[in-house]
Amino acid sequence: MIILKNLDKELNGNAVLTDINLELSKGKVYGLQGKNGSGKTMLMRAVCGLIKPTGGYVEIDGERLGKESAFPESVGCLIENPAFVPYYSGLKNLQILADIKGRIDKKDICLMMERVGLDPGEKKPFRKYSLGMKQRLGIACAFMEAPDIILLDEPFNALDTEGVEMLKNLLGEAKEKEATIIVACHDKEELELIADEIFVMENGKIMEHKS
Amino acid sequence: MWSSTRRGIIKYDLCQGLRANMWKFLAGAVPFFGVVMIVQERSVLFSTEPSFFEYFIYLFKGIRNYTPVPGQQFEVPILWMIVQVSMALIVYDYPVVNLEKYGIQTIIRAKSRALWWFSKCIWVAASVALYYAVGILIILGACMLMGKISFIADQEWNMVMNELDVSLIANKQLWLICICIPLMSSIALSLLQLTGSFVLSPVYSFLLLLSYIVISVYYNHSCFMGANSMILRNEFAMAGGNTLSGIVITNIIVMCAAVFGGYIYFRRHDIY
Amino acid sequence: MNLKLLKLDNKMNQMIRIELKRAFCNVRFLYSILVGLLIAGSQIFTWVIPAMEKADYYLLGKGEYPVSVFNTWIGASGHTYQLTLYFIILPVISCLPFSDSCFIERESGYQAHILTRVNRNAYLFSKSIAVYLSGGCAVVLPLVVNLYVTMMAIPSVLPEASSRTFPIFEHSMWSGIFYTHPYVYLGGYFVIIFSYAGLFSLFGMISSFYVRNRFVSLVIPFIVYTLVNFVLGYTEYYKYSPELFLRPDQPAGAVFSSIVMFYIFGLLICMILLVREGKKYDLYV
Repeated sequence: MIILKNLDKELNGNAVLTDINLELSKGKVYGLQGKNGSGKTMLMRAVCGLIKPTGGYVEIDGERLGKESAFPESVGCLIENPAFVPYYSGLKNLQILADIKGRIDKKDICLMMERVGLDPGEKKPFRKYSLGMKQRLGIACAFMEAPDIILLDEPFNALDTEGVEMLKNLLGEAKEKEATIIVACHDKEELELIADEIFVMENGKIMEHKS
Repeated sequence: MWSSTRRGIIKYDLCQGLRANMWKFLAGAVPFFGVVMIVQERSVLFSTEPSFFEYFIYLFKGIRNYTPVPGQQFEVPILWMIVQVSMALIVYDYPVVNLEKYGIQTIIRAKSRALWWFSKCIWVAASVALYYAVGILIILGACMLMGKISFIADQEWNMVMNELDVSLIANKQLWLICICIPLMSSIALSLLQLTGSFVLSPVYSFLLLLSYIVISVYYNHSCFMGANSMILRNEFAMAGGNTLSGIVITNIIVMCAAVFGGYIYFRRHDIY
Repeated sequence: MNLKLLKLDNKMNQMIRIELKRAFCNVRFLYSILVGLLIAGSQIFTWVIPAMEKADYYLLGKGEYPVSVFNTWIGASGHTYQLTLYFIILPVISCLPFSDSCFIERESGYQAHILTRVNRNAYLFSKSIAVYLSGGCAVVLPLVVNLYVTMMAIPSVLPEASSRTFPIFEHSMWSGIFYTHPYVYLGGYFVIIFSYAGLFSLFGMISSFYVRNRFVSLVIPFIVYTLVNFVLGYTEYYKYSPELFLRPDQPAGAVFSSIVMFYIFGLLICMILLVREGKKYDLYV
């Protein structure tokens, strides 16, 4: 369970998040909808522990971020553009990251890469990937360790029809595994298809909640 | 004993950090090759081949306390300075660039800012140690090529070329002043630079460090520990020089201040 | 009149104006001046102000020659750390303002917007001018400020070789000018420092075409500068090290012809690499 209580964040004197109150349960997909600059990415960063709230708190499974722990125990994210080491291949990049926790092996990474439509044997360095390939690698990185919390910021960007279907399938599987998934997306129709609940944001505030 | 995540993030930094900066270690080996050539060239004046220590003393001798006198040039010893610059360049930008570019993925997997920060500190210490190891290997290689690997400092050589009377210094102390003290001082300065690169930016931290080192050469004061590695400034080379214990304590204080000060800053640092 | 050419010239002029504005009206230019001013300013406090107190010593029979601007300002204070430090970090100060702008624009994709509006040669040319001028100014301005403040505090007593209190000797470059028209000497030296600082920042910009990290491009000129000083320092050619010949106090005696030659050589290399970059068709990160 993720609880955001009276969450505020100010950056350079501007309020980017104002009084956010949310309770997010396991096994559901939550959508964040809103214009550019409405605070969707900032909210994701706050859940990830990447920014320190100016007010309020984020609690994940009873542990307050910033107090009991700095980051969630198990999280996968794709926030803004997928960023990897430009001179390594996709597989190498994922292997390096997976080695940190050591929970999955090369076989699992290869399987995930194939799921997202990438060839694990591809020797091309990341910097030569097309935008769609970069996005797929970012998605693979977010899902590969089967995390309990998945945060996806504009995941459908640069994906073709097959890619979109692939992502929907991954979301469905993760939902069955009781992960809490937060997806930020401009595409209202796409979001309504995949999300169980949608929060509409504007100027850092939650304006509307649709089930 | 250690969780797999701790081992994982430290292994990540040691492998990726060292690999990404490998070219800097190779480029930074220039002063060691330089000292080999210079010492070899000057050895023709003496009857014996220089020992291992002659090279290191020449590299780290520095200058005695400087007293500014109009008309007399203030010069920073080039060879010593190049070693400091090389280490500053090795540390330079890796941590900041790593965090800016792909740090989000590593830090959320590390699950702890403290762990990420201390892992970077370990990387800094390992990089400096590796740099010295490269230097030691080069000098040992040079000694081997010349047909003499000796760990007994030559008195005549050091008196003439290094202005140092090694007869007053025990062999153990030579290891300390030639390797351990410079290594420790370099780690302390590099950790300061690491903290500065997050608080300011890599390039300003680099500039600050260089300025601090030059000012340390100019002023021999306990506040300026940048020249602690200079052999000619310690108690064995001059009366009233820096004591070994004093240098060690200063270095430890600076290391702790840099590591914990940096952690306090990084704890609150927004990553976006 | 060829209207197409006119249009191109207008675009070029506009590009140059835009790039110059970006180079000078930018907080990093200010920071690099501040770094220089910190060093040059500290010399005022450590040497110039104490020297003011000694301005009357000559009249009281305490000194051999009156204290003068020409042996008190930072450029003549070879015994202070400030001059040494300034000329050690000179290439970094010159690269700070604008050298990495090309890299940032390429990485962010902004370059694509520019190149769809103006051709690559015009872009590179205007960028080079802005980088060169901002780099040169960032290095020279703090020195000029230091000289100016020293002039306000210390009299401009004409240098006298026999007093042995001035850094320039008979064998030094332009020694005749220094002892007759010292401000002309200083003006000439400022031109040399400006030219080389501009060249270093241009070199930094060019190195950013070949590296993948903007911080590295900022220090490449410094690395080359330091290495050249190191290598030459142990040979008989030490006087040709830029770290020595760029200093107005000429610790090793400069040679004007070699200063000009090295400059032209460096400029040629930069121009060749720029032309090569300009001929590229693909914009590929």
